[in-house]
Amino acid sequence: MSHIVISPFSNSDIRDWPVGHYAELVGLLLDRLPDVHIHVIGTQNQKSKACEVVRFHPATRVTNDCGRYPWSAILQLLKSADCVVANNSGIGHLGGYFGVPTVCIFGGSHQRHEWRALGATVVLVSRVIGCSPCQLDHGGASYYDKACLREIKPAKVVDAVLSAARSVKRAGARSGVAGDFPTLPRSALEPIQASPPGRP
Amino acid sequence: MDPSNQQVSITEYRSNWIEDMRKGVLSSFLSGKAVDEVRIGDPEAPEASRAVVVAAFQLQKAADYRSLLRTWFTSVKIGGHLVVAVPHAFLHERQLSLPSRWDPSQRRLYTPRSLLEEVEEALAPNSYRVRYLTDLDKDYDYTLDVDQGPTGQSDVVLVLERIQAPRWTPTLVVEERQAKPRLQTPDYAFEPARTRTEVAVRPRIGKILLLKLDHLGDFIIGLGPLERVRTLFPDAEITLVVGSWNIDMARNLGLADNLIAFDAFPRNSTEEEVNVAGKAAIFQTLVTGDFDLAIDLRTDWDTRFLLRYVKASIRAGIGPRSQFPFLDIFLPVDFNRNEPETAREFIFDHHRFSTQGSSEQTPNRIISHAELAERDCAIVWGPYFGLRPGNYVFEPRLDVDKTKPGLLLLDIAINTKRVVQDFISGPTTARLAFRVEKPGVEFEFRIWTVDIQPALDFSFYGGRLIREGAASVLHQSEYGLLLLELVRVRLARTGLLAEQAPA
Repeated sequence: MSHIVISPFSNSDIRDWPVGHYAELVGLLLDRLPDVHIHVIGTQNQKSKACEVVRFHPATRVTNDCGRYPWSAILQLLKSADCVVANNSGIGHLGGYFGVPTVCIFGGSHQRHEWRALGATVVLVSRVIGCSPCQLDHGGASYYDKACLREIKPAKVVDAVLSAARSVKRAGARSGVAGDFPTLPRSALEPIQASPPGRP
Repeated sequence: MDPSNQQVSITEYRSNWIEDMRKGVLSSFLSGKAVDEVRIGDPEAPEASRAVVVAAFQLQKAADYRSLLRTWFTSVKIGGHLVVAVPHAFLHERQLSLPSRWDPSQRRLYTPRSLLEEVEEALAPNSYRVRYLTDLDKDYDYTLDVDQGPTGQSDVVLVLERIQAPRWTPTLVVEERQAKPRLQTPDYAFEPARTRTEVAVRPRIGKILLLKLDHLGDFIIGLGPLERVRTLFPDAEITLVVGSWNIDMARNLGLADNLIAFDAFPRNSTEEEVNVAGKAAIFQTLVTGDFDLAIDLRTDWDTRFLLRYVKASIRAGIGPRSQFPFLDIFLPVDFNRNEPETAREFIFDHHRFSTQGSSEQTPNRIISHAELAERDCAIVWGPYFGLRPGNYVFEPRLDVDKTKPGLLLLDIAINTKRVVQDFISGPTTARLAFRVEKPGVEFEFRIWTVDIQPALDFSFYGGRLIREGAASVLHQSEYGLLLLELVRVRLARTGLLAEQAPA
């Protein structure tokens, strides 16, 4: 992998994975992928918050690119990325649209079946949790402090990044084109059995 | 230009930089203080061990500026200062991009903004305060061309004071708008909480089961969807389950590779009780294969449950998943459509209406006497009935005395606001038509006297309110075609979500 794009902010904080988790994710990715460079993107207004993601990581490998590039350059950055990591946000959808391996960290406020990013290269990480969907719009209103996102551990997202990266990158391809999805045997569709109550 | 001469000049200038600053603009920070000058590669000093740390013309050469700034800063005592000086992009370099004219080891160009950005990335909010930030240009010669080395000061200098971070800083750092949870995690609800990782997959469709259990007419108007299945899956083996009365037609039309006759409904539902649920066992004995895809093409919900008995990887049908949780692909049609769409009639007898002095309530009507009625006032009103949006007609049942001349005003008010009116001067069948745009409004019918003419004698028996049936339903064949289009989209474009097994 040469570069990963991380977009930690959506336009609604109920959908944002915690900044501290992103910071930890960056560290884990740097450890697992020694040659990778990570671009943290967002708007100029999100630059200060992105500082919390990049602070404890080497500037040589992690850049805070919020507000730094014009939109056209961001699109090029996304298209050429080895993986895009985003919330349920526009950047997540773009990653899937471009056919770039994309990890979408999906909160419980909305239904993933309705709003998930599309594409054969998208890996969706979400939390099975009893209070979802809550249909809230603001993180401050969350009854459980966004447990649906908070409890998604960075290590799990690292696994998803590695899984997404194994998918075939289709530079310039639109998502949803017939034939691009992995074709799995029926057994792959069987639901994974949940542990009974009381078991970890 | 002689770069080597220029380099010497810069070196000399910088070698005296701290002393120059101590006597000059930074005297308040450096004068009389123990100053530790730091360079790239120096060993790390202990935490909070220094009063003043000066990093003069080092940062621009560092690849990892965050780490370096943090290292320098943490060696400063609380109340102490970190002084950082870097060459100014517009004064020293006089260019907007690298490489540097004067120092090939320089990695970044600086302005006050970009220097401060690096500080904000490197240091936690509220661990420092910016005490001084400026362009230095004392003795700078602005008349020199860009290919001549700068003279005098041409730097950006920043002074940070290390402060004790307030206790609320972590809140700021972690989440700007952190919620105040009443509980840390939700209680167990339907299954243990866990993180799932999913990808979209497109399963192979080799064997398809279709249920089309309607009567003849429904079967005929469902031919479009049935034929569409063959078009969408030309290589699939299709098994079609139909009522026995439709099996010959299905065979003759070549709709499927295999046909199964199953009479979920009586051939004539008026002659025999419908009991689809009671025939589930028969269905299970007839439909025994394994299928990749099973679709119930009936629009109404009453056969959907049969899909539960089918061994199929994907079950598709019309209706919300909240009602049919076993469906993998569902077209969420609201089965309550018939209730709000239905034409309705509401009969209000005269007791639902109020009247005033000129009129009297009797057991079967309201009687109004013209000679007692005041001019220009409401003499009957009611029934204050809540309405949903739609088209309405109200027909008051009025018996007017045709022997006396006079005039009455009839009107309809919605939330007390008049929306339609009609004058009557004798016996007539009044029909007041109106439209309701918003839900939850209150309907009121009123009879008024007018000020220019005497009223009429009349008897009022109540009235009939009719809501027009709406037509926002689709044709039965369209429901089926939309379901199949959804199946196609789901299988070919959006995919089905499948959970990845834990690594």
